Amino acid sequence: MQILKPDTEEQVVEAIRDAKAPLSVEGQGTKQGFGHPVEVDTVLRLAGLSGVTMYEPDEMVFTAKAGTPLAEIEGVLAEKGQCLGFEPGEIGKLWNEGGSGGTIGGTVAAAIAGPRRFAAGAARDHLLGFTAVNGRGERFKAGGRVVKNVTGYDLPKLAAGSFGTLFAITEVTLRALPRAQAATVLALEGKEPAAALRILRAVAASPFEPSGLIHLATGGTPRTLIRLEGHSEGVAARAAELSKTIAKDARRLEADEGARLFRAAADLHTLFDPETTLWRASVPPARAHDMTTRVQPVAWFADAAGGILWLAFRNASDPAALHAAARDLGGHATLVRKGPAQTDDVFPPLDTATLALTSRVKAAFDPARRLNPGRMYKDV
Amino acid sequence: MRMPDLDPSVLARRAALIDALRRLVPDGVVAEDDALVAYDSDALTAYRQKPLAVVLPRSADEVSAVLRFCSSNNVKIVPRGAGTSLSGGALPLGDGVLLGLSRMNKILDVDLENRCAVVQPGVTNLGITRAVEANGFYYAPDPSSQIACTIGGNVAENSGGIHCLKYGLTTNNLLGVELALLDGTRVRFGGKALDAGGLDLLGLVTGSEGLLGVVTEVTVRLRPKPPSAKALLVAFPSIEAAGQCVADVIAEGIVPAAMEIMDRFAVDAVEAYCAPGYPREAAAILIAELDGMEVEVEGAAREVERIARANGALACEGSASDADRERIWLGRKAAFAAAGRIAPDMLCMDGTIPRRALPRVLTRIGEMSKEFGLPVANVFHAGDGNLHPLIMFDVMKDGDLDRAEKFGAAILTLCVEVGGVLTGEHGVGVEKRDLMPLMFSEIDLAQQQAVKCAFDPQSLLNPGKVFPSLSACVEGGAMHVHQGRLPFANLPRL
Amino acid sequence: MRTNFTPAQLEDPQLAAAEKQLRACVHCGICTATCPTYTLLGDELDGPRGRIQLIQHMLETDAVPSAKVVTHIDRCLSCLACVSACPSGVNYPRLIDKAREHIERKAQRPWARRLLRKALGQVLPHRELLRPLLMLGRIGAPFAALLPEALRAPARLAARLPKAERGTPIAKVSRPSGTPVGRVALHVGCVQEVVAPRITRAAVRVLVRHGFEVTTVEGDGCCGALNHHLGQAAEAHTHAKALVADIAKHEDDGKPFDAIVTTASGCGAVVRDIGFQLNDERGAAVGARTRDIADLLRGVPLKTGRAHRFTRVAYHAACSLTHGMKQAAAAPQILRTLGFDVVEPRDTQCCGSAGVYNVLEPAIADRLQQRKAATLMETQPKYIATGNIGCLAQIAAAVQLPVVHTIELIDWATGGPKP
Repeated sequence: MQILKPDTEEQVVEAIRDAKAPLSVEGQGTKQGFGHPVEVDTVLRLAGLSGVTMYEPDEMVFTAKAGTPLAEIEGVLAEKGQCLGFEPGEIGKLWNEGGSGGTIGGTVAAAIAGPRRFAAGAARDHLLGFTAVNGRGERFKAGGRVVKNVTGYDLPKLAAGSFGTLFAITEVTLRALPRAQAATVLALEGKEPAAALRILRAVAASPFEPSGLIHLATGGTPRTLIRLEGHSEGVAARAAELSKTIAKDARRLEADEGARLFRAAADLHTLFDPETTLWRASVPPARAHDMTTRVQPVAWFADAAGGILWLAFRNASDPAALHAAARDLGGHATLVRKGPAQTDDVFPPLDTATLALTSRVKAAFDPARRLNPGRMYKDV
Repeated sequence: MRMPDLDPSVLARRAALIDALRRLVPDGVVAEDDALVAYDSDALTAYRQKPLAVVLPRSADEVSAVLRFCSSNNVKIVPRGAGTSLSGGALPLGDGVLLGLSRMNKILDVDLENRCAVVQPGVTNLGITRAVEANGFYYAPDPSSQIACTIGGNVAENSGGIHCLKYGLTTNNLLGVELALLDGTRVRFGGKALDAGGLDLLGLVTGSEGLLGVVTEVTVRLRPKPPSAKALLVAFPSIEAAGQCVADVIAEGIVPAAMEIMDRFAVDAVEAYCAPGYPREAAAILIAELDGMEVEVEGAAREVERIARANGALACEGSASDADRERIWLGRKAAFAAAGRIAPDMLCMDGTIPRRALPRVLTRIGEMSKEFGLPVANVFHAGDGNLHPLIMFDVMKDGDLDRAEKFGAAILTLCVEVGGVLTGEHGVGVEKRDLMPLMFSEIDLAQQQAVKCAFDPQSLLNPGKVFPSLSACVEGGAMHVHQGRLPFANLPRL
Repeated sequence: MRTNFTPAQLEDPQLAAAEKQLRACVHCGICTATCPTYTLLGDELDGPRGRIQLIQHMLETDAVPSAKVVTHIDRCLSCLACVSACPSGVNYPRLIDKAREHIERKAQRPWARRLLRKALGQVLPHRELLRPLLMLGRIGAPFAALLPEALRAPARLAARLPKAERGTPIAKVSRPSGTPVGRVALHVGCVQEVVAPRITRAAVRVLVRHGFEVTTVEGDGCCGALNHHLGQAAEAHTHAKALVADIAKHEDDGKPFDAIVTTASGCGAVVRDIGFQLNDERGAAVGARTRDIADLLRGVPLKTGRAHRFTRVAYHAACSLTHGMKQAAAAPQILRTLGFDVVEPRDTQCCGSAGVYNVLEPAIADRLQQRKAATLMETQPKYIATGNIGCLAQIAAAVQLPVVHTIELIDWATGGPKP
């Protein structure tokens, strides 16, 4: 196994342009367990492209090289009282508990987001622009550095969640958000799943502006958590109103405990037994309960008021059944952490037309299939 | 403005093509010469071109049939919603079918439990809110043409609006689309679930200006209506102070639903037009709207006022009632019309810049106004740095349109120079097409065009928009930068 | 927008007025959203912005418009919702009126349609012709199938129209018991006087009861609005001139009327514009004083009884009152003050009556009528009230409860008979 570790964008261009065979593109490689294994001899590791190259706190925007560690970015932003709005966790530890936290490029490429995405949007909604090298070895850029921009195709959306199959991202420009001045987490304990999800949906449809709506059924007493963020006065008022109406008998958690639970929900790895097979399903929120009843996970966690489900199974689950269940309920499922020797569909199966289109989009960036071939789909 | 060459073989077959289209969409084809004039432009009237024919399908199947037919007959297609584009996104082609989606205007499903609505593309933006407001929900993006513009057009343009500071653009409020591809196949990206599976093709086609496919169904996210809202009207002695106030508010972590600045020229224009009672002594006024729970709104309003005072605000008044709030907004919303009373024609620019560049850019626009000899009123979505300079001119005066366009180009060049972009919400269309190289290198553009080839290998969908040159697609969807360049034909300007 | 008229063309004051409006239009498309035909049919040709383009082309080229173009111009209801919506203040009537005249002059419609338009223009303004014809229509309706297509629908419609009624005679001048609080001319229309003479009588009662001296004026029996909307300019002018002359006759003593009062806003909207139509100052003076009866009564203290209280009334604001006269606020306000439980329907668009539109374009008119009736009925009213005879007849044909003029309710509430 050869590892290419460029330090500059030019070296990335060279590496791809001169590649004789397909490359596996990664940051620190923490999420290599996510997706089909890419069977190649050469790894293009972008961790060497590191550092925040522009940060304007007033504008709430920064640019970082793709290999910059996520933790470094969080640190730089925290110094100015800011953070990443989409709350990405260090989910690389799902596959390698002692490993590092991954890079900003990898976070974006795998479209990682935590519970705040319910209110603030996912990685796609925060990526303003990027620079990348396509499969032809051409450096190109897309998007910009301002939030409101419709100039040309919105390639940043495509980049988020492309798992390195289209291009090697070398630099990203993202929005930063001010950290909330105050946060309160309301907790309900021991609710039946259907009731818990109903409450979360009611809060989602309320004007109380929750920034996290999760239900943890990952062992022990199930916990239903509602996070409110903002200015202290408003948060207190919203919390009070909620406890009187939708979330009766909710308990206000200690600040540390609330933060810890939401951090765990973003990081994921502490929630689930490392031996389990883990799926992520996205179904219409009102179908979340149908999904969990149908597939019977051993442990699960509902994010975004049921819009996203993390489902753990003790034994290697039946991928076809999982995909079918999610599809029947109007959504889709992705296999996040495989059981031993599982090679089935990881990403949601696509209909013929969409798969063909997906392949053509791949070819538009990487006609010779040099970058992460097969990571998402057979021809992608 | 150069447009793609007319295809003589299409023009020669016009009668037969129209007959065939009439069979595909009975009672839905306009081909009479004196009727086509009504379709010769969208809301950017500087460019006019009658289409080969207009086709008005009533169903997604009819859309597919028309696309399939055009694809096999090598006929270009320009999709159109309500024709309210300010960038010429729906400017017809003389040898192309103008595919109007305005008849597909049914709301298919309102699903409040999943907080979404499924609608046909011709439903108006405001029509969605009207359908759900009785239940306490609304659709957030609110372009100023929201009463008329269609959701299909909003998806194609990734439309914004005053409130996208807090709630995002169209792309942030979509859950799914059904898209008819050039060969008539329909694909679905996303649905009622929070995410679409696979590559984010939903994100890619949103804002693709009708170059990748035709939207035949849209699933939008609905939001609960905020229980209260308050508008603040703040007067500043300088544009700089107003701009700094906006930056400070945002940096404090306050996210107003909207923050709009108007310069003195704009204030004077609206005062003359509808007298909303704006402070006349100000060099700039800021309107900030806060929404949410009342206690929170009041708290945030006090914060904004404090920040405004710290930035030298001359006066600050908060709306005491909904009627009062509407009065404060009245002038801002009438800015376009008010400018229309000063000069018969105008161009509305749409660049976005980093907020800190506001003073510099506005000063420079003022200077350019003198250089070009055309008045300009500045209204802008200050919270996200999206400028809307309104350049006023008289199209009947020789050379005025030309000067206005050059002025516009100069403003956009400046926007890009300070780190901004050509368009924040109106789209590139034909208007800013030839300025794209200011932002993108040849490779950047070639990469985007390669994406187009993946969707539209025949280059039949809305060609002549967005990209400054046409490029032929080669096998496999890829495209070579230096080959296959096709020149645009000259489009006579009216 | 740019226009391309020759200086010679612009010497025609009406064409010059039209050109001014074309220049003001910025093609933003806001109007389309409020246009009943556009929202129904989804074709730019059926919306105000598209029609403006068609009109511009036809006026600039002075060409004979194609049948297609004529169809789409004919589909305009003249409800003028677009005028209220337009941010640029385009005076659309200046354009559509001119276009109708142009078409009337230049284009050749199919013979049956021509005949129908001619007949409508000749018969409706004349009560003595309309009365027997309505009777005939009711008898003849079953034979409608024998008629050419363009005449079938109107023949069927005739069967649904209210019966011709004879009203009690009204004095030319009605005086209150004490000193008059005002002196007004009450315009007596053509169709209304045949199908619902009760309206004018109620108006006289209410006005006199509240201290007005009322002089009825009628010119030659019609204000010309019907011909005006049909593009029959010469006939319209003849009627309009007669009305202006009739009003002037009663003002010759040097005592001008405080107001010219209309009870049909379809008439009122045209009378308000009579000065421009006739290019005449006396006409302008009439137009400026023309008020809808409810608008006139707005400032008048009304003597209210109790019997009517809490009666639920669904109020349909006629387009001619809302967008034409811009005096629609008064009626619901007065009804509420009097104690009625006033509700307004979700659908604020045209009911499809629009003068003779329901005769000429029955398919579209029917759809608008059904929608209007449905949204009115969902408010569960006891009465439906409106301020225009056309709307009144149109809605009455689609619902099973009394549809009355606002003034009839005001009459009831202030001591008159229950409608």
